[in-house]
Amino acid sequence: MRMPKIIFTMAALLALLQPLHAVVPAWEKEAPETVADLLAIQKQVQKVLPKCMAATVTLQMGGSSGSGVVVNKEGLVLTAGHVSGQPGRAVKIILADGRELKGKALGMNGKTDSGLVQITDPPKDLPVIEYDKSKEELPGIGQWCIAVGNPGGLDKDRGAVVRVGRIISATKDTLRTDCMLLGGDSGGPLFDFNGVVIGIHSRISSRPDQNMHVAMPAFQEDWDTLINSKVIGGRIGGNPQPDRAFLGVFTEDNEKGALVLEVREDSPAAKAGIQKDDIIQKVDDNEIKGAEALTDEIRKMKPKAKVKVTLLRDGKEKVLEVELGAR
Amino acid sequence: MAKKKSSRLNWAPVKSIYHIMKFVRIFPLLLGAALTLNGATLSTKLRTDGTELRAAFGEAAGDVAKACTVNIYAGSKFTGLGTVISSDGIVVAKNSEIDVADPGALRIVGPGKRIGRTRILARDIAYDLVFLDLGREVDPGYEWGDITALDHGTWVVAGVAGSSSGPSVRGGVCSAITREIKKAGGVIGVILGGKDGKEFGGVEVTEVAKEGPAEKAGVKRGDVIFAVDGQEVFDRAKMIEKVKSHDPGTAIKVTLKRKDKEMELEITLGYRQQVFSELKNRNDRMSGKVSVRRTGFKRVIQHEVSLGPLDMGGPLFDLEGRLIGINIAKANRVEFFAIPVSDIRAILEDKAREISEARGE
Repeated sequence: MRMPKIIFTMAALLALLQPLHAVVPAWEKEAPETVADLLAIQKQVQKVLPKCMAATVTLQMGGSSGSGVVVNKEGLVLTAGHVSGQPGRAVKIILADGRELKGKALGMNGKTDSGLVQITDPPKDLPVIEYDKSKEELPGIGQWCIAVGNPGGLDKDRGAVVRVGRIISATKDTLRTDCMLLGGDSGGPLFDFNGVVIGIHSRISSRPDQNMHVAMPAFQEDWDTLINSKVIGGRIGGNPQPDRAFLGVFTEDNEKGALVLEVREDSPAAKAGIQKDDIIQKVDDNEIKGAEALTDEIRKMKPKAKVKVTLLRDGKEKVLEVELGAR
Repeated sequence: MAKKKSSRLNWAPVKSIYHIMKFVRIFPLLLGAALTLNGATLSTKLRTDGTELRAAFGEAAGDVAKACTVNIYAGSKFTGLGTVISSDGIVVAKNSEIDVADPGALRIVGPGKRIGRTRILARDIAYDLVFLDLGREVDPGYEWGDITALDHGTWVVAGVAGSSSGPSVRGGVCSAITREIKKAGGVIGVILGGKDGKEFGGVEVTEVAKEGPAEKAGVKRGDVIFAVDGQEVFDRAKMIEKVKSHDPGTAIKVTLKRKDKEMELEITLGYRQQVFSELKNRNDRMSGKVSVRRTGFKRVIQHEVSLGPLDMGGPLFDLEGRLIGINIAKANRVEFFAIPVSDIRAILEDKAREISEARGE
């Protein structure tokens, strides 16, 4: 009765849509369905990759090493705040072709983990790449992306390491992808399939799907601060503030409080026995509703203060006493 | 209304309204926006190691993976995968995983459901490979590929230890330059960041790693090391080179000056990643279980297919289902190594006589 009519309508619709179908690239489908789709994805990745890799750099500060991406001819480098660290400190920039350049850290946001580095002696042929300047717009869920960086630190024989994956979730501060990251990747670029920077590698947990990147609106939001070598939101990174208390956890918002993604080695949190995956719910008698609330609460304290931290571990409540440290 | 339509149409050639809509260019964008507003996340089946993606990779190499991948057991312990490398029944696998397993009868399960005892025909320590006897002829199903076309971003497909339905596959890209992975030497756990040279009379220790081998042996910040194993070394780079030439676990003698005193200390070298840097330690912690041996390979392809240490020994294919390598190490959660198939064929030729003698041919 009604069914054949519907089928007819659908078939007609489908016929109309055929030409459109032909122009949808494989990477805009819900998932690649055939080997041909996979090959189309590979072709697009390899088309944009040389330029992406050329603009990806290694940053060395003292004994530590991270990644970054050069975004203009004047030598501006986007990186993670915890890589660039204290504004003004000396940074060695190593280009993909091995050339070593001098530079210095500009500003950083310790909360979103955005950071900038300026190359002070940019050569004329400095490889650069475009970055997404949106203030609001975010990559779509499922959008394909390419991660480049130096997992485990600089390795000249290996060069930068490439990963291809998809956006799992996106907020104005943070993108989450299934491009697997590791320490040393920090500050490295996440590209879309047009070779435009859409994120900066920031942090991970041991769960394979927890790969976090700073989203580009977070850079735009603080652009003046960053370019003027200021520090905001000093939660992580080389940002010494002697009279500010330090707990030593990196958390994200969770329905039940602040979920611990990382515990810094030798930090007050580590010494008190706070562990990854704990959900912090209270500091003394103050309820903690999320990552920011925890930062704010700790910020009010002084180093050496003793606080009671109430947390959920494997669903059970636990109270730990922590002696806070200094940043 | 729309909802009703889509469910009633499920059986029709056009599966659902959703399937039609996804052909429309704008739809992924709308979907993305809607999901973002909901704060939703990408369904696990659509992720790069999800079932939908695995199906596409399965089309490329699913059948050949089933035809050549075997499971290896030492006693009752699963030690990893193996790959049938010749039609006369030679299987290649990762040597060190079998080495560290409790000794027990070696068995091969597969291809298919067949179970049989096996024995070692030959080993190649430089590549960490072992060759086993399947004891029967079998069609491995694949063609030889080559790695000349491999570049950053080229898809590769790995055989993984599967479920009851047999081995399955997972895909990812070739992610770095094909190269040698040097053996990781040992470290004493100091930073030589100060003065050095002949005039200075040695190399200054500026930091001593906490609980590292040097600290345990009594080295202190400010000490000036001037000899290793009785040989004078005044140059920083040469001293690092000399220490690194020894494997972790080896004891070396270090001679140093502290103010006006001279002393000789014996230091047992540690693993770099254990002794040094929060970074390395943390990276290992973030990587889950890694391969027992993950350094010291003459040549490897590097890829990003998320595998476990027990998926090593399994095959690596290109998108046309040709064998291009044998997985040999999970170095960390990002870096996976495979021995190129050309190297394996060269080793097989090298070991041809050893293998036929072991088979009693």
